[in-house]
Amino acid sequence: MKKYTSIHDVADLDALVAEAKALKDNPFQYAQLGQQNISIVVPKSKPSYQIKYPTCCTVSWHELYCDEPE
Amino acid sequence: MNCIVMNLNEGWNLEFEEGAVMNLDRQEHIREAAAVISQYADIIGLRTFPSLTDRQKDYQDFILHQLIQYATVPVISLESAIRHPLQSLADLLTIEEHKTVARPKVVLSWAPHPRALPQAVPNSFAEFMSNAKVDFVITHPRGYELASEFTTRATITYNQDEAFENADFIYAKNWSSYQDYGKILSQDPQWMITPEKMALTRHAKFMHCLPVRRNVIVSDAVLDGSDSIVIAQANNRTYAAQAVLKRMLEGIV
Repeated sequence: MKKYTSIHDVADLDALVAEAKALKDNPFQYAQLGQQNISIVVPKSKPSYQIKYPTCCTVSWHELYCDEPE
Repeated sequence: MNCIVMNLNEGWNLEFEEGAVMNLDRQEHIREAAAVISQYADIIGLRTFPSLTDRQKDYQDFILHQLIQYATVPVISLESAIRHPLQSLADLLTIEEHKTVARPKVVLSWAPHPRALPQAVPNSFAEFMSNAKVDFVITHPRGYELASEFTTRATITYNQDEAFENADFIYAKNWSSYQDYGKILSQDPQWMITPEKMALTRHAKFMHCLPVRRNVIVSDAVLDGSDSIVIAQANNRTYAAQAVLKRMLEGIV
């Protein structure tokens, strides 16, 4: 396994897009990867994070979506 | 799959500089932190942002590369100071799903914003589009040229209307100046994406990475219109991340 990828060495883009499409059509199964238990360490200065993501909760991939602070 | 999320430098202050005398507020060096976290995880994802004050350091992706150096497991960028590759992979997937011609014209358009934003999203988007089967155009006001390493295969124009002609996809994004580093040089509302601008295109789809400021970056009419695919685009973040993580776990990439 490579130590690092930022996937900006894009020679394999077609294959990567095909893989993403395949996953969209046939999503990860819990049986394959296990239940997505999320343990989150939050700073005391951000109590709202604790409300949204209590320790050891289960969240979906969608809930991990966020973007740059605007 | 278990996921541990840590917010650094909000109580747990890490030192990244080599040889630092750590007698101030930073309790742990990245050397130990990376090594310890590596024992807890199979992959470490890092999201970090640029200072927008020190271009040289930002463009070295200093924090990301310090983590890569000292981690003992693979590291994936969830957005770094200068790139946002998982966003760009989701963008490319979205374009592939919505294109109606074999080689679509894709336009990255700068749009106004009240805050100074990083160049990571447009850098990565330019990098990906330059390697995809598209005709790629970037349009922005003078002074907003991206770093040339990302735009070598792009057509660049300062005329937004000209860029939009016959476009199949309009990707709106604000970024701060690379040349006058981190500065806001323009907030010209004429660059906002409107129905009149979209009418110049070939019924182009509208894209943005979200979150987006309504009636600053893009008008309500465009964002709520039938050609806006921003929600589908956001959904594809899931599958882009899954594809890359799956490949990393399989040892393919």
